[in-house]
Amino acid sequence: MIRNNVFLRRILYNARLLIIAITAIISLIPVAFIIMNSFMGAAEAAARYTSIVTAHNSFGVISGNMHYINMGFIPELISISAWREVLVENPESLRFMWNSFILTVPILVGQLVIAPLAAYGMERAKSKHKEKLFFTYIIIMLLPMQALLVPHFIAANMLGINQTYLAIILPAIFAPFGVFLVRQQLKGFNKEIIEAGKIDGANELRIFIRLVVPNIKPTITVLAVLAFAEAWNIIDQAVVFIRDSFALPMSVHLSANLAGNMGIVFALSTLFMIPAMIVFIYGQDDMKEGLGYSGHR
Amino acid sequence: MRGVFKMQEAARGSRPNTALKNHFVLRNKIWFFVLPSLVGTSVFFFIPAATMFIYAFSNARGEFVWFANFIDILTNSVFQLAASNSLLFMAVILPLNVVIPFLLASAMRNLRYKNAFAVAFMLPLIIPSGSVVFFWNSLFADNGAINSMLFQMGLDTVPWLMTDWAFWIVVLIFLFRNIGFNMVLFMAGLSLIPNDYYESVKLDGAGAFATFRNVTLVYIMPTAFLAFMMSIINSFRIFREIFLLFGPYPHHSVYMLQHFMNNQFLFANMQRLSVTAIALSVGVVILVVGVFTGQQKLSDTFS
Repeated sequence: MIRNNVFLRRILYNARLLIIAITAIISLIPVAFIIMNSFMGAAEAAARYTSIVTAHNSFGVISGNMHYINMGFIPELISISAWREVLVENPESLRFMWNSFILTVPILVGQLVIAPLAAYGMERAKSKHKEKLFFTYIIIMLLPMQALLVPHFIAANMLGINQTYLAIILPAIFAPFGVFLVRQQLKGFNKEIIEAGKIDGANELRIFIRLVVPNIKPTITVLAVLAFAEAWNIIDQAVVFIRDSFALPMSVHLSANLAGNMGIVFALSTLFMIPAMIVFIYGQDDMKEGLGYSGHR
Repeated sequence: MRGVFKMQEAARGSRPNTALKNHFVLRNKIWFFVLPSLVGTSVFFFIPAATMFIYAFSNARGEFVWFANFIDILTNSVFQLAASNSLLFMAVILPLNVVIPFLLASAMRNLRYKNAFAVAFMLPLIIPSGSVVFFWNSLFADNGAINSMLFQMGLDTVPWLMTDWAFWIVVLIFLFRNIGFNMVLFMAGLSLIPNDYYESVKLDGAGAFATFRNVTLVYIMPTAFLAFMMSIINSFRIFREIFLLFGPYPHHSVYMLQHFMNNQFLFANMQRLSVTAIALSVGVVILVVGVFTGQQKLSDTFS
């Protein structure tokens, strides 16, 4: 009966649309909050977000000596002073952005070269042992970073690269997630394309670069976006391997050294999320295909 | 496909330079593709992991001590706290992070703008933890927005981050960050179920529940397994948020195994680190193998 009732179906549809729209808006709130607040003047930011009572916020919600945070999305006065402070007047914090770049770029490039190669090799190899190796990769992939950090730490000491970026970069390049992701994709790959390449006399590397890679580009994009987000967000490894506080990536610096400086914390947080967002937006169309949700009816 | 490869091999065998073609190196040349990854994984995982086992079974002077290190760790009260917190956390978030995304993805069937929604849902995973930590802090701090609301309504305020509520706040932050990605996985999984399957059970006169149980649930199982695996991987990454929000010594309800290990790194206590890493790895392997067998049994019962 219900199935034929157009009116009820429409209500149900709109209810679903409402639930999903609300959930989507909730997912955007923290990002929107940070970005909007980065256009707040230093005085207003201090007045809103400090815990001590000052002349500027004494009209707010106060209990004893404590001033309650007054979260707001829209600044009373739009100002670019925080951005000028971060980018022009006191660009010291940009050093930490640079640290993040130095860590992220080699990891990303390394993974994007090594993981698809290994995945293709494993898919094409005829050895019985390859599945055992692949299973080991999956187990390594599932281990928590702190458990992996122990072997990484031992290796770094053996190679004498402890306390350097190499101790973070090199192990991250060989993260098995990419191999897993690309191989899952290659399992459904049309083998006839490879056979056709062979008949044309192309060698394996040529087949891989010319025929396989262009066809699995969406998956490689998914890997690139996730690997970038992961490397850009490095915290655990930096805490263990980097003692020099000036060498820390922005991810750690943001929370460790900025707790007191309300004036620029939003601008820096926004600045820090911009590269990740650019990569994400740039990879959007490919990700739709790579993750397979474009076919969702 | 196997057959094609066999034919290829047969064809190759009939060529004149058989001896050269069958040489071990040439026959296995595809492994050169795997080599860089294999070397890297050996240097940074396999070889040091072997060293790790030596550490785990010996004392600081290098003497073999059987399981003394393991007993030492397992009876350590800080380790027990960390382990039980980590287990509790996984027990709470793993089911939630599979069921909620599945329900949301189901609700998104045939919906307008769903691709735009999918972008919004994935965004929290892409945004670096450090960028949004200030948002969470503004909500839950002693003088945060929630307490401000309670105070203005004349209710008692709660030091959220310094009570057992901390655990549930971390659960919330985890779900916030990770539901979207699993949801996209489920959207993809649901779209792979052919419409014919639904049509055929409809012809059999099956109701909504029977359709769900016999079609949706059966064919979504592989996706659910993948979502579950992703949840395990990401559940360990919650350390970042906890670390940023609480520092190295958080409230005891969110003191996880990662904190325990993190603090051992400061002392470079290789015995303890090795034992904890091994214990953790064994735990993960048991969990994954258990879920994998469970998933196969479940699919078997339903289909």
